[in-house]
Amino acid sequence: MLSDVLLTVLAPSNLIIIAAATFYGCFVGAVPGLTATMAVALLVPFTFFLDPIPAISAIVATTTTAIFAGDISGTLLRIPGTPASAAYVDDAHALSQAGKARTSLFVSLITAAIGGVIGVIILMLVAPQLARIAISFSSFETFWLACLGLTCAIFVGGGTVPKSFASLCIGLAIACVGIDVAVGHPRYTFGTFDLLDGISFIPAMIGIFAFSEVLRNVQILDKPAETIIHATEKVGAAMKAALAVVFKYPKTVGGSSVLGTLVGALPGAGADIAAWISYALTRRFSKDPEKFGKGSLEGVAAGGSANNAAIGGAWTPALVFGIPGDSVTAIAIGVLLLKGLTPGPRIFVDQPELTSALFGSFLVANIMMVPVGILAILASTFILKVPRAVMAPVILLFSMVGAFAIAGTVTAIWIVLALGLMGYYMEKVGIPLAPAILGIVLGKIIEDNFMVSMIKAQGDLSAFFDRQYSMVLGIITLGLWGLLVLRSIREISRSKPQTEG
Amino acid sequence: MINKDIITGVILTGAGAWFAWEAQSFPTMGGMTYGPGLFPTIAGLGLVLCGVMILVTGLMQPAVEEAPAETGPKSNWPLINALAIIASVVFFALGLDPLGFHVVAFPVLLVLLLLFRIIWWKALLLAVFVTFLVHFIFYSFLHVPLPWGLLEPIAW
Amino acid sequence: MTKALNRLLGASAIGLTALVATQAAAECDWKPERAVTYVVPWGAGGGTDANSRMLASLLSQEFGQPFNVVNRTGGNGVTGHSAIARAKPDGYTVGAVTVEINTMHWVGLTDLTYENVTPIALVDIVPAGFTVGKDSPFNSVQEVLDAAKAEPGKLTGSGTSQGGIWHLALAGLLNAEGMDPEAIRWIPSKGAAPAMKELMAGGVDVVTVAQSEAKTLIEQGELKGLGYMHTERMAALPDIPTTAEQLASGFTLAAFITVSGPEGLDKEIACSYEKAALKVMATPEWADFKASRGADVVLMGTDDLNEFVKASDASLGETIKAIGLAK
Repeated sequence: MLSDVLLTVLAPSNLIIIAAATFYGCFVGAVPGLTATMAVALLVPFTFFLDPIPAISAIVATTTTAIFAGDISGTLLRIPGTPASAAYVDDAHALSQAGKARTSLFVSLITAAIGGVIGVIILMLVAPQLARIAISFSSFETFWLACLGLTCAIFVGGGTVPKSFASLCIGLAIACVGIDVAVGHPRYTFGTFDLLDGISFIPAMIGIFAFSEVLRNVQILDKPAETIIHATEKVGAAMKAALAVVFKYPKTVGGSSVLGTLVGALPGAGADIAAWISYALTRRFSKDPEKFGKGSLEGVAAGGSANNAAIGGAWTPALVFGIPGDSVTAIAIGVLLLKGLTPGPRIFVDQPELTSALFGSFLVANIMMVPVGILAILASTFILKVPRAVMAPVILLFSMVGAFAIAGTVTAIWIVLALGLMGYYMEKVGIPLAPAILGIVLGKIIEDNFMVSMIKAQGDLSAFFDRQYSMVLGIITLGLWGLLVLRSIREISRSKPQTEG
Repeated sequence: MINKDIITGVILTGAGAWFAWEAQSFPTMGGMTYGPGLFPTIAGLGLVLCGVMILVTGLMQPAVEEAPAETGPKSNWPLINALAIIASVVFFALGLDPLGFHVVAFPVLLVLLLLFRIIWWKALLLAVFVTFLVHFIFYSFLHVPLPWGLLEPIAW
Repeated sequence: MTKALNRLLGASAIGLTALVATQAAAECDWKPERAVTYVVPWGAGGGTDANSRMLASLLSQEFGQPFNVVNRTGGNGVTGHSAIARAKPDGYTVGAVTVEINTMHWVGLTDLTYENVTPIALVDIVPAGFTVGKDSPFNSVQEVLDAAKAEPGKLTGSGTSQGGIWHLALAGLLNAEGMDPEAIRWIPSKGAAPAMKELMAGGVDVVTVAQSEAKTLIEQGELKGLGYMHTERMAALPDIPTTAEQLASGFTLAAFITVSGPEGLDKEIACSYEKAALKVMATPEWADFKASRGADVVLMGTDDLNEFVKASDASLGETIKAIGLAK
């Protein structure tokens, strides 16, 4: 039976489909404003004409490469190609500016492949058990989990505690825009329909990272040329350096992969949150945490492996219960149903060839991603040779069209402008950007789950500690908050003459 | 020159106060004392708190932070370039729907490239090429409906 | 069995199309000359999205032009529906107008009504379910209602936002049975999937989302289907009784998905779309797609659809007023 599966997965036609999907995913992921979800949604009409196994292979390969390829524009242009790359975009971009773009991208690529493989191995081994736990999470547990993620915000931020906290509050405030879940009241929408659903994440990110970068760049156009680095490393040297990084931090890569898979398996938490949490934890336990945010290859390795591992994790609840872990698997479930296959516990018994083929495709896609990724990296790093005076207008156009593409409305471009100016100012005065981004991502999840929980419990706060998992998560979160308060009190009491750095 | 932490502190405090104040007008949920206004209030008050802290640290610092690098002959170009970028975004956002993608993208690119002192024929070629590249990637390949605007009669 | 059913449905559909085609043979031959935007007011991965993407790809084969699906989510459907209604009525923007066009204006979300769009053809009818967790002590809708009567406000239900269609299903059912519409408290959720997750995690007691959404989990035994708010049982889940059989009031409620154009869409364009839509919905591809989701093929052209939407608006309005959500 296993050989049959191998034959299907490794059949030339299937390999061609995986290869094509890899190129396609690489391209869409690298284009700013287009997410892995969008790539898969565009793929659906094509999968209709494919057999189930090639169809699933195509989806898997597209997602895997799209998540990696998000790093390409993140590293080179400081535009995270997909939200999953936002956690370490500052590091990757700083490395690129220091002339190490290829090293950083190779690290992304290799760790993405490793993370992806580890993710699928875990998926194969423990999918059913993992799904059991994930599925018993109600709004109470999700609330605590998101709070835990938010606590990472303070750890990822580089500035002083008041400034990190201010950044977080800015993010939370942005997340408050739009209709609220409890009574449906429109907040801070100024009568615009497009803001009813809140400020979309991709335009916000494009503004905060890319637009502010363009603004900074055009102000140093007439600085002497030697301050601008055009050089790219030799391919061999970059590859060697990247491999050295992976071998230097085996624990980071391994640990982040496992963590990424676990986070991905939780319904509602996808590759982006996996990357943030792994990045923050790695920073916490790193030997040189001060490098994080300023070009840490260790950070790139942590985030890069975690977000690709999360893709495998997200399939866990999808396969076992037919409940999607993220929007990509939601579409994939639709495709499976279309093929007459019903995801659920029985799928492991009824269609073992399908699940094995899924795992097989995951492995093949992750391996095939490496050569395709190398090609993409080589092609794209030529961007660095283009002078700033040319790059700035082009990036600006891509940013605006990318924002328009995801939201389908001009409001997205205004969001880019407003949040871009805000991001520019924040960087200028030393307020870190990362906590704000995390606040935008998690603010909504926290508020929605808090309100839903409170409606359920009719305002009884103790309900947050009633359930078993909820209590454990709650105690961990509150404990961490206690530590943070202590840390900030210490910082304030001894740091009167300190300046931000 | 005033310490920039002071300005930041004032801005954050003001913005936070407005945000929290606005939230007080939101309705509450049936039978409870809070509702949609709770989280905006928390975020707003958090901003006020941080703003005040940043303001205080700013006031405590000596206000002599004049950067010596900026004392040379100062050029206006950085400011002009930055304003041009902002103006481009405003023009693009206002013009995209009525005028169409091509009619706004091309002049934005051309003007910026010329402003950044690219030779005119290179700028012209680049602007045409990039406009069509974006058209091809987003419209033709990825099926994003970029508006045609004025060019609707020749849309393809 | 399903195959035979499909063939049967297909055959009747072809008959219908032939009829429509002869009636409209004089004109209705407008064709798009470039890409058409297909607006979906709901997110990727959901039922409306899946149906619309399938229809869009079939229409694109039919017309030989790309149909680009754009998910304009937000504002509980207001954003997407406004985008459809206010688009230029030149035939290059169509969209999936759903049942919410008849609820949003009653609850005061928007001024938009079905008169601001041009319905073209019906795509799907989506009756609500009445689903509980697998460990739930209840085994029929009546048992749940009795428990709710005994202790009003103890049980909770979920499925959409406050005032969303599945909320109306539950509150309307309670109201029709002569009970307080809030006897089962409504817990807002961001959609069907999160609500079912809450149900499985024990966070709520009842979920009234579309039975087709809950179908997979019911088949696996993770959830228990107690009722189907429709007049006929669902072919894919024939053991679940309808509310029309079970309840004294015989309350039923179904959401619907249409393909519609903007307000003031030219008759010629509208009837060309109608013709094309009815044609592709009679193909075996469409039948297979519907069967995979456990749904039946429904065919309804513009005239019937207009009546249907109008009637639905009136009855939903009554429900919304009765349960005190009208503004």
